[in-house]
Amino acid sequence: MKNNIRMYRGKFKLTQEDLSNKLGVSRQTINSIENNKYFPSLELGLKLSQIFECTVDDLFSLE
Amino acid sequence: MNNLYQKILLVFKFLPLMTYLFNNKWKGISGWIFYLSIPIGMYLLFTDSFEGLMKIRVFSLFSYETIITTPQTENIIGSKGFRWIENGFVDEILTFVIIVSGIIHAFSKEKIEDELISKIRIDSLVLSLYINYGVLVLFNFFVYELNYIYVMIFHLFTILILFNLIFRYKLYIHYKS
Repeated sequence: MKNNIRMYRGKFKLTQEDLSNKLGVSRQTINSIENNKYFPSLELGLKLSQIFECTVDDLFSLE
Repeated sequence: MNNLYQKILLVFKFLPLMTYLFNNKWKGISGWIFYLSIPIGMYLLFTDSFEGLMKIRVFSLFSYETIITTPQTENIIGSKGFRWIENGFVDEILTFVIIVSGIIHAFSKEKIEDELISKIRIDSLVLSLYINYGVLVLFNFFVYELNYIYVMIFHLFTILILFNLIFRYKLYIHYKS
């Protein structure tokens, strides 16, 4: 599974720290998601899509 | 009665939503107690100092009593069931302290307890359980007779020690990323 979170984060001019504060997770968790070391839960995926004003499909896709 | 039934139903409804974790403020103090009490316990075990310390009368649910102790029949023992016995109480206290502090230290929340931390916790628990029982299976075939008691005593604490070490190491790698 690949994701476009880093790209969307850049688009919204958010640092990993900013995004982690909005989601209530640690900065390291955002880093792990961006580097494909951890695949987030559906709840976190939906929260991310809400922050980036897009669908979950835009953020995550199967390789 | 109906009200009580509703309350019980409510408890079961919210049971899956509970986290079963302790507050983060207990992590530090329980860790200190856990890692300090282990070497104390090991020292007392290897020097056989448990029996002489803090001897008090305790209620034993199931205890044996030696009936005949002549050289020919020294192995004959009989059960007296539950009764009051004299016992060094330090090992019981240390066992309690190590287990309780180990559990609290292992299952205290992190400052930011997110889903990745939960995953690391579960992975560490599975790995520590495999190692713990893997070692026990090995010792089962290589340690015999009364020495096996030492294996059983260590086995009381190894899963807690292993879990704490593996979990802390994985967290260290995670926080370093």
